[in-house]
Amino acid sequence: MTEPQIDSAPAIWVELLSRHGDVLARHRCAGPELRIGRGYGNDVVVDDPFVAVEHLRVRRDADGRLVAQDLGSVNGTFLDRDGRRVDQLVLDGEHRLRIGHTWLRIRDAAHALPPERAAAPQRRLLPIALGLGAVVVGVEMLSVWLNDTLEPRASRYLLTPLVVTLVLVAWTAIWSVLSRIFTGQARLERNLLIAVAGTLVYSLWNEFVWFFSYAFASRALVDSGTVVFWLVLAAICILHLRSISPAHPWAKAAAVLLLGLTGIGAQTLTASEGPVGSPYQAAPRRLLPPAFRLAPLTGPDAFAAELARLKPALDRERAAEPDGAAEAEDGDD
Amino acid sequence: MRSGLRLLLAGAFAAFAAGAAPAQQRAAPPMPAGPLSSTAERIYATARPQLLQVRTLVAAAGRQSSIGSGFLVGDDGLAVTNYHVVSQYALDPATYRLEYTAADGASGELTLLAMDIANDLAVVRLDGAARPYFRFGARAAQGELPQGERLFSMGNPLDLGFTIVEGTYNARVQRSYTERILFSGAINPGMSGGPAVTADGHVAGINVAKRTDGELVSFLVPSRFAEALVTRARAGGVPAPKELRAEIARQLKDWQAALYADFNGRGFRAARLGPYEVPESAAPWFTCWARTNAEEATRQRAQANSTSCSSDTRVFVASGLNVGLILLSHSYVKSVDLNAFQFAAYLTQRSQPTSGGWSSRWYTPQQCHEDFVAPSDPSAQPALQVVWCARAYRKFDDVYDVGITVVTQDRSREALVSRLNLQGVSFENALATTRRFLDAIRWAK
Repeated sequence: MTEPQIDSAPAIWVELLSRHGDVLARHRCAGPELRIGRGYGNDVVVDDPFVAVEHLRVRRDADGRLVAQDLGSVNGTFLDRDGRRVDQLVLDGEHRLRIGHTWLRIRDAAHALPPERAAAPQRRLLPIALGLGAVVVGVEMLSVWLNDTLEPRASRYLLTPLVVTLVLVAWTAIWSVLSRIFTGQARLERNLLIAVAGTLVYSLWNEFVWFFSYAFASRALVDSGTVVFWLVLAAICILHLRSISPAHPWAKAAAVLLLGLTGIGAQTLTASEGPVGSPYQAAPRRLLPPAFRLAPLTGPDAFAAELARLKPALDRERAAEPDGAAEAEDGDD
Repeated sequence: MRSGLRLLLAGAFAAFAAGAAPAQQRAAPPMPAGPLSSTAERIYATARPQLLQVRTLVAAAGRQSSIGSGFLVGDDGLAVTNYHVVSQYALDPATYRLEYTAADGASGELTLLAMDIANDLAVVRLDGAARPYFRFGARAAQGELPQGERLFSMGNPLDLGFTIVEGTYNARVQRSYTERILFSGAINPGMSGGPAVTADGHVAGINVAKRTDGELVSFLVPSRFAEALVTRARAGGVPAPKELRAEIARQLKDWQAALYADFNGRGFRAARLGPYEVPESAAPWFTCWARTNAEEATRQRAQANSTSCSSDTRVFVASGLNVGLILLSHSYVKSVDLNAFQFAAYLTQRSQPTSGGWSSRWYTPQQCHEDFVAPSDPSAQPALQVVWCARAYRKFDDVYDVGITVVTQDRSREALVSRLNLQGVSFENALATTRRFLDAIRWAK
């Protein structure tokens, strides 16, 4: 490792960046001073009609730091996304400059960089994704089979895996295209794995809910279906976004969760305002073989006591009747 | 299987079912002398000024929303009609009012004095000059009319004008909890509340309903109920319109109390279904049907044999609201080649709790409780999975609809699916009946 030698005035690198920060071109200048502009007399020529012929000058100050100076351009020079134009500033090599519509980063050859990132061993995700995919399809087909009370038809068993596969492929394709656009890499295997894992979680949860509601004769989890659906969807989206770029994890998570919560809210609202007179109309119950019962049997007396508890709830509901206002009116006169 | 009974109220029709009771059968005496047409002519000539058309008007619009008939029963202006003719007004006196139109074109306001929900009768009073009126027949009140005796039913069908219709008295309807006379004559919507008289002009019954799945199958309320209600109306005062609904609720509660005292008093009798013993009501006013799925499709993966018994106990409360039905059904289901999971899925389809038609106007949403219930005698009874759902009537206190769905839990590839539906029952009666129903599901000995 060599010490940076300020005295020997190391080279200066000028990088032209895209709006998103990708390096489009990189110029090495021997220094100690360089000029940037549209004119061919400059050290770095920028083809941007909004840039002055002689726009920017970069030199070293007494301490050896790089200093950029606007040479009197019409459109000015800006630091990063700051809206105030600057005439002269000390460059740190991290913040970008904007001249016209062009983004620049100017660095010393001795600019300190983070150490080399340890590479995770390259793992093939495709076998895992395909394995999980097979489990998803298997669970769906098993569910079809266990609930098949009609004459067996092969079409029912083919349709389900076909639909599941098509949806997963379409979903994966969308995220891979997005990933390709923003990072240059499709990351097909990773996106497929995320989608398949999410689907598996949701489908297993659904099966568990029906098992639970039979085994414990409880409908406590039956309405959780929507909540879990949106949460799984949000989790999948967060993972996809993270795979595209790990930047701003909290902001992305918050945005996706907000969308998910809106979905839960909207669906809950629709359900609560719908014309459903019975909870079993909203979500029909499912029976399992008696061996799956886990709840202890309730004695006839305890059962009767439980039933008696419904009365206050019903009477409250009646008291809150829609024409309760009209009744109160009757009472007045 | 069963089709509706149509109430003879033009404008607001309701369908309900018919039922049971011991019938009187007597030898027919000789017919009244003289040609029939002249009898009808004579009766109508006398009856014409005593007949009314009873109209329910929307107060704000001043237009009729339903019409029925009625007849005068005293020189004090009292008239009898059906409860269902005046029910809109009784339930919502702020929105509706009652009017009459006589055959001579006279019309005026009606005051509702008394109601008998169970027998579908009401007594109204019209003001103005005294008119001639009908007398109740003593022979009819004592049930002495011979089957086949000619009756003359009057009223204003479909708002076409007052008519007289000849038909025959056919004694009490069998298998009906509510006493009704079977009248074989053509009565039509709008004639509800009109009188059916014997040849001497005395009232034998009041037109109330007809079956729409037969010809000339009509029903009359026996006149003695009307006579009793008129006596009650004369003794009592004029109820305030806003108290009418509470009166309906009270009568409904009394009615169901009597019904369930009778129902529970008669008890269940055990019927055998597969390896199980299931309860059927011993009351005579139940009609039962059996059904099997054997013919439904080419190949069944499970056999299902069902019996279903429904009571003929419905009473009209409002248009679209008949209460009082008791429904008992049992299905014995056995897997042919379904595995335990598939059989459970099959049971799932057959045992979804029902909620019937639901309208937020009449009912609260259902509240349900679901549990595995232990038998009181484990050596003779299977464990049960029970879903118990109830909804309350919004406008009437302590009246509920209850639906119980039971699936036996003792075998994995055969089961009994039993249901009991109680309409318009008090909570207490519902709990007591549930208890007895669950306790009557047993293994066959």
